[in-house]
Amino acid sequence: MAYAYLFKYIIIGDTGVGKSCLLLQFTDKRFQPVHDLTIGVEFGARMITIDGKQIKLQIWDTAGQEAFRSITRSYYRGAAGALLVYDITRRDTFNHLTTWLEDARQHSNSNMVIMLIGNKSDLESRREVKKEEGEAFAREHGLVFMETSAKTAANVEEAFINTAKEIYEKIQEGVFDINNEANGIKIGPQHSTGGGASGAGGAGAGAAGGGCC
Amino acid sequence: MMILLQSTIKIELNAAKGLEHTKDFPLYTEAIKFFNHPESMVRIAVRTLTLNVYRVQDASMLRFIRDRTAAPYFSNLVWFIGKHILELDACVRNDADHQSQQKLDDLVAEHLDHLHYINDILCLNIPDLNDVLTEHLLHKLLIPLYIYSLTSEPTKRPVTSSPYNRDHIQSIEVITRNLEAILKGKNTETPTRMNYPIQRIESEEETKPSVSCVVALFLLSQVFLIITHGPIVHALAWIILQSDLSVFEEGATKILEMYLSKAKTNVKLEFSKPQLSLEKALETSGQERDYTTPEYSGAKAFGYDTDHSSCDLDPELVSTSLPSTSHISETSSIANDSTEDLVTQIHSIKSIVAAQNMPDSPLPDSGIDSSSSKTLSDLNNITDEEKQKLLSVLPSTSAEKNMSIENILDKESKEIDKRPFLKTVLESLDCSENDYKALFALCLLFALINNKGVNTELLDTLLCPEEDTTSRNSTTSIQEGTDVASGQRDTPVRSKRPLQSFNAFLINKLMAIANLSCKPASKVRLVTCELSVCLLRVALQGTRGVPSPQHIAAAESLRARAAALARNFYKCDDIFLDMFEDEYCEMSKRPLNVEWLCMDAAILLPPTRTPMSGIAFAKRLPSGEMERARRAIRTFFLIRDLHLKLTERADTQLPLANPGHFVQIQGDKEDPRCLQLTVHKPRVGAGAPPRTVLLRAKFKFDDHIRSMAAKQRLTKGRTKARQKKMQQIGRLLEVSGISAPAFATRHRPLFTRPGLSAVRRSSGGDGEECERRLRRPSGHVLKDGIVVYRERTSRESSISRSSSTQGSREGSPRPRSEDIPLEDIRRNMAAAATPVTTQSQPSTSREALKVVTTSSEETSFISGEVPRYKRKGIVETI
Repeated sequence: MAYAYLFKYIIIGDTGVGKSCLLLQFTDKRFQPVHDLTIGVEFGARMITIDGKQIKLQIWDTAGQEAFRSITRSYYRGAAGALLVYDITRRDTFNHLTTWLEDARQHSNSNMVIMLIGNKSDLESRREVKKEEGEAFAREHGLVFMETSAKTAANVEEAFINTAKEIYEKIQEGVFDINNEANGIKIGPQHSTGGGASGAGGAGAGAAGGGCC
Repeated sequence: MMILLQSTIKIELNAAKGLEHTKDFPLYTEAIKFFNHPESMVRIAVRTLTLNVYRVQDASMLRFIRDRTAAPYFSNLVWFIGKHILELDACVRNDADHQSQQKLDDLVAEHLDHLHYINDILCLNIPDLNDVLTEHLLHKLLIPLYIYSLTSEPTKRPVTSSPYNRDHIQSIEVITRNLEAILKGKNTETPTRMNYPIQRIESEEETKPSVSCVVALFLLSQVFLIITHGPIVHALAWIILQSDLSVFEEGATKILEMYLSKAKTNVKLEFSKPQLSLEKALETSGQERDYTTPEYSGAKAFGYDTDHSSCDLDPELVSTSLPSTSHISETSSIANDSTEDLVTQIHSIKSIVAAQNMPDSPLPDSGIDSSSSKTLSDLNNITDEEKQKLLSVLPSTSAEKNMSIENILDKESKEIDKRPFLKTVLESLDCSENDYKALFALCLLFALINNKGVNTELLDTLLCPEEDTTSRNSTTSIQEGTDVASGQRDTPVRSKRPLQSFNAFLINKLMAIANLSCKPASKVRLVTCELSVCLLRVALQGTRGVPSPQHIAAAESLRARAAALARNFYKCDDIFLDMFEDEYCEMSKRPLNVEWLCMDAAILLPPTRTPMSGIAFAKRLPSGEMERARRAIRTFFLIRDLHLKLTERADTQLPLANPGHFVQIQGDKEDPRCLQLTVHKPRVGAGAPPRTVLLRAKFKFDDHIRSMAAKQRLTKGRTKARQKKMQQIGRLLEVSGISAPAFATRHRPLFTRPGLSAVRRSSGGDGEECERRLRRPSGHVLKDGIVVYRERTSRESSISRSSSTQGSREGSPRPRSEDIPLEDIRRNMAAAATPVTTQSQPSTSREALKVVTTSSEETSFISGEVPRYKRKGIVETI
């Protein structure tokens, strides 16, 4: 499980936009049409390669955090990247983006990379939000934008990986303080790319053991 | 661990509720074991889950939580918060050179997270949970660690060596013991333990955990800024403000009675490790339904680095019994019967106090009360007379009033010796060396005064002037009836006796800070100055909302001093004017936000001077002449503002110009006769976001000469406006030689008729340039590309140069817009014409446009003075 860096992601957006499905598709490459309401937290991890380096993405999907100030605060603070998800078939989820973004900007560290995701792109017939609108919103707020489908897996990989690339670039530029774990970035235990096996889910025990607070 | 967590957490609430008959709720109990997990996301998840579980408000579940898990969970939570702040404290102590600011940031943010979490729980308003949580917080954390740390200085002690001087320990330990006794109440099961703390204290002297005074003040500020739960903040406020060596017992009882009546009080008042780890406790509580085991006897003293238990388990913590906090005690009336130990202690303290401070008052029991109320009424008599005088006589001549104020001050500073915590807070306000501690003391006072959970009557201690307290007394006792929080004070003795006020003492301290700010080499940072001025206003207005004439006089002299300070930097140059306007803009756009201030870990480090630290200007000392000027200007604004507010006068002199719309005028590359006009919304502050364009229009003149004439006129107007502003500033700062307003208000028309301007124009660019130079009072001719202290200036000017037509001589790179006295122009125009803002319907007046434009000039027109353009040509609205 050697990795060069570990990036912590969070997934945010209204209920039912498919946050957990995106996570599942990315980490397990499967789609589960009926998903229970997330209680507490779900978490997944997957190894990707950028620039020849193994990078572990750790994605946190915490439910119900928006109701409490204490949670919002800390949730954003510890992440290097955020996927802000809306549902292209539900206009209201798009309308709420501003609120989400305000929260994120207020509580996160200023370097956090935010990617805007219009999910459920397979449901073209029920589309309520035009792709152009998503693009415009992203442009206006300086986000990266992409339409995805957790069902068909379209663009899911790209969404996660592009975000990772941007974080990686920022690391190269020296924007992030990588020695400070509170930024959501961790340097791997050692830089040898020995193991390299990509794993999903439940891999946190090792990482947690290695870390020290 | 995480696998476990994941599997557990996915259990649905309903399923879990189905298990209720088994008296277990695995989702919750398993989750809380991870509350201190090293992975922050797991901690967040645990918090989210607990909050969501509490929020469901299912009766049986809440019962389960209260009986089985609340005490262990909260005691562990509190313990780890405490450990956390000890770490924070160590970080502050060991980092004088701003090295580990990042770590400090995290620690502070973490502490804030904890407080917000606690506040979120408390805000769910679940009485049973709140009682348990409140008790743990007060008994195990806030009082023993936060409040007691207020007294551990000034004896600055190394971490390991013996901390206290003898007297100090004495008083603090006595207080600890007494408060503890009170908190324990008169539970019959405890008398044997009365002797116990004394022994323990002896041995604990060296290991008793505490944080530095600075950190304690900072943390308490955060507590008061975030938590509004009455029983907690009110108790804390009471202890800080009122706890007095003599009335300590009685008072604490009164305050704590409310929740003591509900919660078991058999808890030692100290920051100590819960004797069972959370996991153990949860296990045991599963087997043993009712645990009313009396308090453990082997409380482990906390040492700094004793353990680094990574998570929730602490192997050392397998001790004998459980905390008994969940037991509901029926003994609610604790107040009146003391055990013998306690009584003797009270007597001994009182006699000490009497010997020190009140040699003339004989005092068993109520002695202090009666004597202090006697002095009070004496004072009151004096001031009543004096008040009458003061209405007619000038405050400065009222020597007698001075006397009485001094008396009050004198008395208050004597009284303060009996209030150990308040004394520390108020004495921290001393800025003579630096304002490091003072800033936190100010934050704390601010937070305390603005906290909704603190009883207003209690705040009178700080805010209500002495002479008022007795007269107000009758009214307060009426108010008390309605006030829930003060409901417990309905004993006759209480409502008769007003609280000792420290208003004059506080004002004195705050005035001293403001005074120091007005000194050239002051060590007071702007943020400290702003906060003290803000508090000063509250304190001076007292409860009546009207400051006394004497205080107004004091504020007036303060203002004069601040003006004198700023006057040192008064120069007739553009930079000064820009700075002046910039600072005003900054001040009014970004008023102090104490909550944000207290999120900034940077202030925990000793004040620094260098901008390289990355600390905002207001939060550090000025570096260099420029910053000293800025500081002086800002100080002047702050203190002037105080004076205006106290005298309830509206500000008629500032801002210098109406922040109207900014107009930018640019020549057209292709057509020299054209001028482009852009109207922006005013910029906000220095680091401004891109401006919103309100209107963009293009003017076409008959020929380029007219267009240049227009430009020239604007330039002169601008210079004129700047001169006028400098005079305004001069008057504000009382610079000698700046005469009455008459000078400035009269505007000599620069050009009376178009013909003249045309003649001048023909003289060519050099002449104009010369003239402009001459007009500038100082050597600061801001030509193209000159170094101005804002980047955008040079950028804009270069743009202007490239885009300027032959008509524009030089884009004047003014960083700011000016008011241009357009009255002249208007006067010279024959008839009224369409204002700029209504240009959607282009006017086609015959007369040539006289209004002049500077290429790339940013101009702010006073809204009322929107130029009446009369022009010929087309206007295109783009």
